[in-house]
Amino acid sequence: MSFFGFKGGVHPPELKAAAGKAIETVPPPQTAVIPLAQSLGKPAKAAVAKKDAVLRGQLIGEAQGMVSANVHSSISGTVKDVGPARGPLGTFVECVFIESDGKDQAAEFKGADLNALSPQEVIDRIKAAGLVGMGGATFPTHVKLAPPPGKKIDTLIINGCECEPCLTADHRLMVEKADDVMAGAAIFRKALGVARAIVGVEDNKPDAAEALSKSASRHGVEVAVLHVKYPQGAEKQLIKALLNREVPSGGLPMDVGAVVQNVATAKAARDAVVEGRPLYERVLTLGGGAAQGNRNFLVRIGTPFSEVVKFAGGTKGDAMKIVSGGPMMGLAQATLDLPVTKGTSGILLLTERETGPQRMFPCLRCGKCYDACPMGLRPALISRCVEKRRFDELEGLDVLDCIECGCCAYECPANRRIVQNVKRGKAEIAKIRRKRKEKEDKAKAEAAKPKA
Amino acid sequence: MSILLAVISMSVLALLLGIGLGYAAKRFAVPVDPRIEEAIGAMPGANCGGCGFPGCGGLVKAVARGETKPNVCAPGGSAVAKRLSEIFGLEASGGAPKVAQVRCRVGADPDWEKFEYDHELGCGTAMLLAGGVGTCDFGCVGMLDCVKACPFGALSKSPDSKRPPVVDVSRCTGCGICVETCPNRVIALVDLNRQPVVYCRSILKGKLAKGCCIVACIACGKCERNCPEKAVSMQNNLPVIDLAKCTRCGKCIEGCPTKVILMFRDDLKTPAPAGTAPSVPAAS
Repeated sequence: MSFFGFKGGVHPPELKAAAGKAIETVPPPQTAVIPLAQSLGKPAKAAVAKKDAVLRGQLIGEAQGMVSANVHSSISGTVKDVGPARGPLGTFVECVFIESDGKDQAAEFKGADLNALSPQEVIDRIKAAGLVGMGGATFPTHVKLAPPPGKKIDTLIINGCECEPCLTADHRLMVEKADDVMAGAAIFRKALGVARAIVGVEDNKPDAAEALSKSASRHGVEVAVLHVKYPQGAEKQLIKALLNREVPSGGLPMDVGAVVQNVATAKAARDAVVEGRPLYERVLTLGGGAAQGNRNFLVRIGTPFSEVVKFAGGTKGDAMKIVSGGPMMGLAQATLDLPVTKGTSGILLLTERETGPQRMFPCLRCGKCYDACPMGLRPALISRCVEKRRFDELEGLDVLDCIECGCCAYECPANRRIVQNVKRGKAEIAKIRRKRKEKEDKAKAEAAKPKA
Repeated sequence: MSILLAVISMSVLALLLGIGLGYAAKRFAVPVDPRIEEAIGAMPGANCGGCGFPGCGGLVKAVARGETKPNVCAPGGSAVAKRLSEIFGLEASGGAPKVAQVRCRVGADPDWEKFEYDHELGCGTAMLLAGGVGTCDFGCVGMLDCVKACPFGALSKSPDSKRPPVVDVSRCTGCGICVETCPNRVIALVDLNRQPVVYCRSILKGKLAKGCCIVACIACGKCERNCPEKAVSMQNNLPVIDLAKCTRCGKCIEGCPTKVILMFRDDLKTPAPAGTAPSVPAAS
């Protein structure tokens, strides 16, 4: 297997202290708060009402439209309420509150034999199970598996890089459930109808690569070991590193004939197709200097962060920052009263020392961010345009290609908040485009008037 | 003789060129809206650019195209606005001039920050993180994007930095730039006359709203029930007041348990609402 690498990137300290620790199961919560918006695209529509009895794995949110995913109950009990609560982004979203009855009774799951299913049936089962990309982006899986006609897919890549420092959830999953991950890869391969499937693993996880290799031949999936570099787990970078293909600006992996799926998603796909079990739990890493050691947990969706922390033995010392996700790309949060969702790959409780220097200095024009950017963008320039509120100039800077990996801000010797500014820039571009469209629509409507 | 030749040839040349120019002026004339000429004459002529357009001519053309309202000229004030409206046959912006109001009373809640944030980055950037810095996701973020955006210096930081910016009604021209800038759409333009204004944007209900901010609308609906004219209706957990029906009786304000409805520009009668009250006494 050849290795091509990618441009830019950084080498943050790995901090994978939980790599050798087995996955522990957190007991189901007393009250599960399950957001209906757990994927990119449209939020699901509540399929249950107040006082309804639900079982574990029962559908509680129906996908709306093309890019959307089903949501299932993670415990058995009664629906206490359907209303707003703080969701995965820390903003208010529609959630289903489920009070546990303590029985944890499962709904009936209908398993199936993969060989007896057609590709479309496989995709339907994955869609019904509400699968989303579990690496953090939460893109609905069934959409990725059904490329529009005209896009020819030749390679399936299973992403086992887990390049984020600190996180070891995917690593442990690959070690402990290697066969399930490989079975999931085979399921995706069948759904896409491609011949080639590769699992990409970074070379700091030799035990995972070994475990995967054992069942590789049985499922006919290749295992590729890649040299460590952040952000190798970003799909565009992984495609470049494995296949030496570059996704065009504004394009998707399917434009270069590849589909990338996370290892946790692959495991969930096996559960969905073979066992008929929907996605209602996930593995995450609890870490950071203020946590009682870095550990991996199997947690039900909708469990509050605070219960995971409590189960792990509480905090130690002063936690300065709560991060949902990894230290590079994760989102800082203001409270532990947030539910674990399908995209929560980690919960970090960072101390003041770990959050790093806070003071911001003027940009030195050193160009380190230009070198670090894996997408070949100009982070310092984008950041400056946003700071000076020159939003109209952003469109020429390919801001929308930014994958928000944080390499630029990590390298910045002046501690400039580059990623924050880029995110703002993206929002402003969306605003500008919306306004332009409104204007065009108005002009069109006016042009059509005299004829009518 | 040679002088005569030169005079004749120059005269002929001048005649020909004159005819050419005269023809071109008629043939290639660009029709100019006579209203624009007239309107430019009515402008103050300072070409300050405060309106956001390139000089007075730029503003007049924008008004003629319907891209902006006639009342955005700060130096000209209401006189120019009236003149422009007359020239272009526009409605004089509903009678009363509009001014911006920050519809949030977060300043009355001392305990409003849910985390520390780098204030240099501004409201729009802060809003991208965990719903903003304030415990309320819908209120003023307090990082002064609107203050920086206001071309007339009508918005200023409140003396207490935790509060929403203060609008100087005498300077505000109702141009609406701050309305566009505010990521939460907390700022709105209201008529500069006596009327009840809802100083809250929270779409949450009851306990949840109150948990975010002590001066939040809890969507109890008391104002809707109290209104004798049925001018108040609850929409998206916030009261909406139909000013055409409203008689300014103040019943909605009396009943409000969290005091989020206040009588705008009634500051000579009641204590000023914290942080958001117009800072100048009633002007013309």
